[in-house]
Amino acid sequence: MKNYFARTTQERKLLGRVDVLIIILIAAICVGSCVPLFLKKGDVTAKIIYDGETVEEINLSQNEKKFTLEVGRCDIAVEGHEIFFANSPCPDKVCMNAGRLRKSGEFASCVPEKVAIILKGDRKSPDAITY
Amino acid sequence: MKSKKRFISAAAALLATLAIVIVVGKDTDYEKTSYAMAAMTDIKLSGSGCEKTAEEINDRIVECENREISRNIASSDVSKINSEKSCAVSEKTAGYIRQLKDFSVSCNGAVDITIGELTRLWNIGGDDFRVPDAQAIEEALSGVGYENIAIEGNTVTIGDEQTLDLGCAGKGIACDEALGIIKSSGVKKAVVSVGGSVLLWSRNGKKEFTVGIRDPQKGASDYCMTVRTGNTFVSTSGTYERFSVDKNGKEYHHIISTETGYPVENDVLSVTVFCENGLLSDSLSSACLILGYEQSEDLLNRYDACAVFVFKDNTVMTSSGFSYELNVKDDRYILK
Amino acid sequence: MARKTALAAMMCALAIAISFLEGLIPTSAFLPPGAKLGFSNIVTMFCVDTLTLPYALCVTLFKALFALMTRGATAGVMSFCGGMLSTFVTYGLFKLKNLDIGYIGIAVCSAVAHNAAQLAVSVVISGTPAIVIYAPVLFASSAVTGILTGILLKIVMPVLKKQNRIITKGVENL
Repeated sequence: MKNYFARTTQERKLLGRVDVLIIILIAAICVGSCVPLFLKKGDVTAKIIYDGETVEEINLSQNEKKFTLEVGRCDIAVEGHEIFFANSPCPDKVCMNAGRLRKSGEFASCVPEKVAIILKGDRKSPDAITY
Repeated sequence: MKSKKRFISAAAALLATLAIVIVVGKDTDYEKTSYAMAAMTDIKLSGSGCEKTAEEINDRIVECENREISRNIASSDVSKINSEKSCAVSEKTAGYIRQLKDFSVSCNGAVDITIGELTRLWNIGGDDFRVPDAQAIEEALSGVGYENIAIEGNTVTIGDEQTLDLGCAGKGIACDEALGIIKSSGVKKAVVSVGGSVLLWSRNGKKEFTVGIRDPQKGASDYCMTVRTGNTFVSTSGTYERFSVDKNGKEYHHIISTETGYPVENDVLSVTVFCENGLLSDSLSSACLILGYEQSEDLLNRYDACAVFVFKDNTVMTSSGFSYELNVKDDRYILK
Repeated sequence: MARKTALAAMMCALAIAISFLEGLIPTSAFLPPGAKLGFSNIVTMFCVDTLTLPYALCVTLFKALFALMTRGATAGVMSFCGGMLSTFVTYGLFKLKNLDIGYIGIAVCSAVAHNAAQLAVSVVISGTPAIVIYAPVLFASSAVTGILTGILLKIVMPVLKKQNRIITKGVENL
């Protein structure tokens, strides 16, 4: 008769080296998949786009300085966690009226000068804003 | 010794698998921001061939503006109709005009693309604004009448008095065009925004999107509400969008009544419309702003659309067909 | 042979009973939604170890049928796919000689395989690949419940095997 029960006499251990490896691996996957969640939270970056090309990216959350950037014919000011159009030669000044941007998802654009500022980062910001 | 080697190679294999999973699983996202139709265009795609598709969409929107619907570019179909009063145009242009004429019939002319003379006269948002005199407005108003548009095949004819202006639907049309390109590409998910008119689309139709509705009393991108939707087109019309100020400090916004010839004055601050079609969502948002809450109800239902109204007294109302999840983010606004 | 089949049938009943009793324990407080304790894996693993693969697969099948009858088609398909994959994984790990793996490792792998298959099924059924994001949460809970199952196995296995030997002695004496 075929011995179906060969293994029954053999005692298996509770924890081997491979077990430890498996558990470490699963823990690594879990921790690893959480990392982007933590990285993405909070940090808001401002993208400055000139004529369809990203010309500058500024991490607003980490920024404490005050400075001004010249993009095309516009002046863009950064003050700490805020960014805004300080000056623009456009006639309607819609860009300057957009005010100070600080939240992810906010944006301001100067259509005649083809300059835009878009804030990104926070996962919770909407997919799009309708206006 | 042998078991140690085996242990190390097993660990290496597992780590390699993990690395592959992480790399392959990464989302391929692409975003392009540019300018078309006098507005900022933002194209966000994920899936395969995103960059190429985004370029195609951008080119198509520019082409649509230049060749078909712009009234400021002399070579466009709409400009040709305006100057020649009767001419053969592309199939697309004829199609847009047909749809918009039908829409005018449905809303009793509240939105009317023969308004061109009147909008040119007001020139809201342009340089050197001044209120036109009453007689000129009266004259321009007499030319407004969608009944005078005749479409036979691809030939569009208007009366001598009429001038076409597709401004009420241009951005929505751009979104429709974008969807046409996206559907035949490898893109799985798309968010295309043309000056505040938005296309939200995912291939399986199950993805949920969050749309922010602009705060009518704040900066251009400050949102006061969010709406959870599926695949849809979203357009907003608001009195804040484009306006001019006269020498007495009075504000005039860009939505002109086809009844009075003056900017619409009622209790609505902005209307956001959700609809299965871009052209319609854009036209409906203008129509609802003009008609007000009660009179919009039937029109919205006819097109299977729904809307969020923000009123001047900071109250917010949704149309009866509205079934999305709405979250008011700013407690100045009260949902009724 | 007859006794072995009888034993397998008993194991079926046991597996079903365990998964039923498990369903009575409110787990929402300490486990994420969709995760289960999975103690009926003990039975599957015992079957794989002592009764050979075909019997273990039968037990899994009956468990899936039970889920189908009591909790509907979706639960049935999920239970079937999860159970099959985890049984094969368990079998493979039991058969691998010279692999320094204990009960905990096998139980954890089995639980992960079970959850992975169920997640794959739910992706197909719901058509939303986005729920894969949920995988790390499920894997973490499989690791915890797997460790528990492993410890239980270590305690229960010798007892079960002793019982088994008594029964099978009978078989050989027939």
